[in-house]
Amino acid sequence: MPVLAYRDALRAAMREEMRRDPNVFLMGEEVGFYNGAFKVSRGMLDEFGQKRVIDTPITEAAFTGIGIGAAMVGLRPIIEMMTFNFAILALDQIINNAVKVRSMSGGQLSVPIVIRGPGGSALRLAAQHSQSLESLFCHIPGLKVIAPSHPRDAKGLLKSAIRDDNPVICFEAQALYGTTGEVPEGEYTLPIGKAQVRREGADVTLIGWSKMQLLCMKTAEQLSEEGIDAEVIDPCTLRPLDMETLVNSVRKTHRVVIVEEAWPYAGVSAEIADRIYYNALGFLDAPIERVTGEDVPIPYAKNLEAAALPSAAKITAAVKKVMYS
Amino acid sequence: MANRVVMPKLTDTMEEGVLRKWYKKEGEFIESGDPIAEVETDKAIMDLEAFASGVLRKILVVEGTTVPSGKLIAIIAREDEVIDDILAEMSSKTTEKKAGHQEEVAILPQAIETATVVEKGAIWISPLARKMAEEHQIEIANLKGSGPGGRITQKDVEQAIAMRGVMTSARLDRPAGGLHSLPPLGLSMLRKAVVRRMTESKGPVPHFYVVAEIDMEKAIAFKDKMKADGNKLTLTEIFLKATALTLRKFPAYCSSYQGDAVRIAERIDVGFAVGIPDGVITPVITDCDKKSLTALSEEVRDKIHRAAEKKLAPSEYTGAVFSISNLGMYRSVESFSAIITPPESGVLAIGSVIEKPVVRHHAVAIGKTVKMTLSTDHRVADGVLAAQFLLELTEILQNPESLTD
Repeated sequence: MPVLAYRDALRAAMREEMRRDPNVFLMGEEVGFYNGAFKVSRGMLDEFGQKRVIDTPITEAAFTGIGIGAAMVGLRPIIEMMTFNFAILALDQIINNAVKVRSMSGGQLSVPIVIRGPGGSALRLAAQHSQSLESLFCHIPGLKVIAPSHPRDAKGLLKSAIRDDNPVICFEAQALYGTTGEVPEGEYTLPIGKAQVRREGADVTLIGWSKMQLLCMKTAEQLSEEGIDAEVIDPCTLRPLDMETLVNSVRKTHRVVIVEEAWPYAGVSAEIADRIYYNALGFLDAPIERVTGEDVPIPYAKNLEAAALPSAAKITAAVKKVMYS
Repeated sequence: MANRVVMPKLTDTMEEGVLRKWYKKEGEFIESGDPIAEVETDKAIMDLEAFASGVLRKILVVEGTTVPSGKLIAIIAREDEVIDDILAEMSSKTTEKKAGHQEEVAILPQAIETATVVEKGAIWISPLARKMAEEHQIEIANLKGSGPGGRITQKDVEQAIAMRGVMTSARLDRPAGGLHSLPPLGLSMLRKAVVRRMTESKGPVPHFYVVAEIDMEKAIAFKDKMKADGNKLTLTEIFLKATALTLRKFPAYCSSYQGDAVRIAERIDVGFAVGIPDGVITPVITDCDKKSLTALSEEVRDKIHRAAEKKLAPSEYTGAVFSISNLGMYRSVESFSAIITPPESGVLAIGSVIEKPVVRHHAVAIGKTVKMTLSTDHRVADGVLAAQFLLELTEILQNPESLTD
């Protein structure tokens, strides 16, 4: 199986879908002549031309709105946010238009749009450029939110997102773009709303997505040296959640630690914890532990930034807490 | 502060008791330690002592009532203390019981929960532990939590299940048809205990049986000689001692399967079944292998006597590693097999000594033989070991002088 970088897998997904469907196009800041701020769209302008790979001014609200309009009349836009920190400017378009049009038009119109780009911290980008904003989008009924952690999933899920008739938010991560992994050759998609068990274990369930998934796996390996057998689950999709996979794991391990890079208050991990309590209370032997970013703007200083983010040590401490050890 | 008097739980197997008689009346002053009522447990009749001084303000259970362990039966308080709130909270939680059965009269169904909450604070237990305790019918009020703040966790319940011995499957020991809430007339506490314990055994414990026929010529001659020398002695003591000496050599039979582990007993405590009018009880001889035959004889007689009167303390009929059951006094019984009392390793069922032709020195003679059936928990021992056990027992009974060691 070929090994691809995460960014190359995303590009492969977009290329395949643009070749397959002439209505698919890519739009965003620096996606064309500059080949993408993080080189995700490298070479795409050459292949598809300026009509389908469109450089925009720095106007997130405007080009997101244009994308929504294009989707309403039959195109399938992929909107690249240079980072999701800038998507805050487009929240009005996303929340009030992208997800409302279908319901408010009585189903006459639909908005098959994908809004994708990196989120999260990436070493000393400071408070405004290090944010994990998944929970803002997960809060909105009508949005699907995916957060792939591996190149294979990035390709398969992005292809499903492009083919979806509703708005889909795709959270990537700068720190993941260079990571590599096996990606199947040829045509495949992965279903939105399906979690994956990345590591089977008996003692505790670790749940983490995107970059945190890799941290969970690393911690699980460390824990195994201490004789703790952790199961690691990657939700892959944050809305809708695959509760079946999560509950099956809880039934087995009776202990849960959820790892989220974002802030604790009203975070996605809080939602996951609530759904586990509701669906699997009788299987829990300890209160669920959440390991999240600290409840502060992400600091710029290297040591403070590290202290503000989840770490293997914090996850290990949480695991020991739920195991009463 | 008002003190709640509850039906005690005196043994692991006790789930309910009969309040037979109140020694005190409402309004009487009580010293801590005074016997205030007579209670029939599953195997004995004993006094319930007050654990607080004060006035017996309220009796909540009429004589003759069967009461689950832990349920509130009376309130002791200062003379002028207001206990209305306790009574009010009881009655507000009382659900209507089906009328018509005298045994359930005046029981307050929620009393145990209320009492526990008021006296100890809420029970701090993980949801999983609570679910497991329910499934295995473990009384969570009796558990000590090892988690933070004393929280009862999965581990604590697993330990309680293991301690109880054999895991009972969900409702094996709860007879169908609501027997627990509506006991048929005439089913005594002891009978109910027998029903429950035997069902607990035959269900989960994988029994197997090995039979041996043993020549008793020498053992009987030995017993007769001892008696002629002025000792009181019966075959029961001979069998007990011989069994205990055999057990010494077979640690597997001194062990019990509990949960996922095998526990080996420190002492050789042997039970012997005693039939009494409404059931069977198995008094235990502690350190049975170390006691002389005459000491055994005295202890056996005393315990049979007190068993018949239901005056044995719970510690005197629990904790055996192995038991014997002797029906030899019923001449028509040639052999039978017995059910193991969990968590014991086995039980030896002894039939009658019968005169029959035996071959000795290549000639047929009149012999006295007994048939013994060894029931074994297959989780702690296998057939070969059972055969060796019976061989060793035969050796001892055929060389009875070794019993005087």
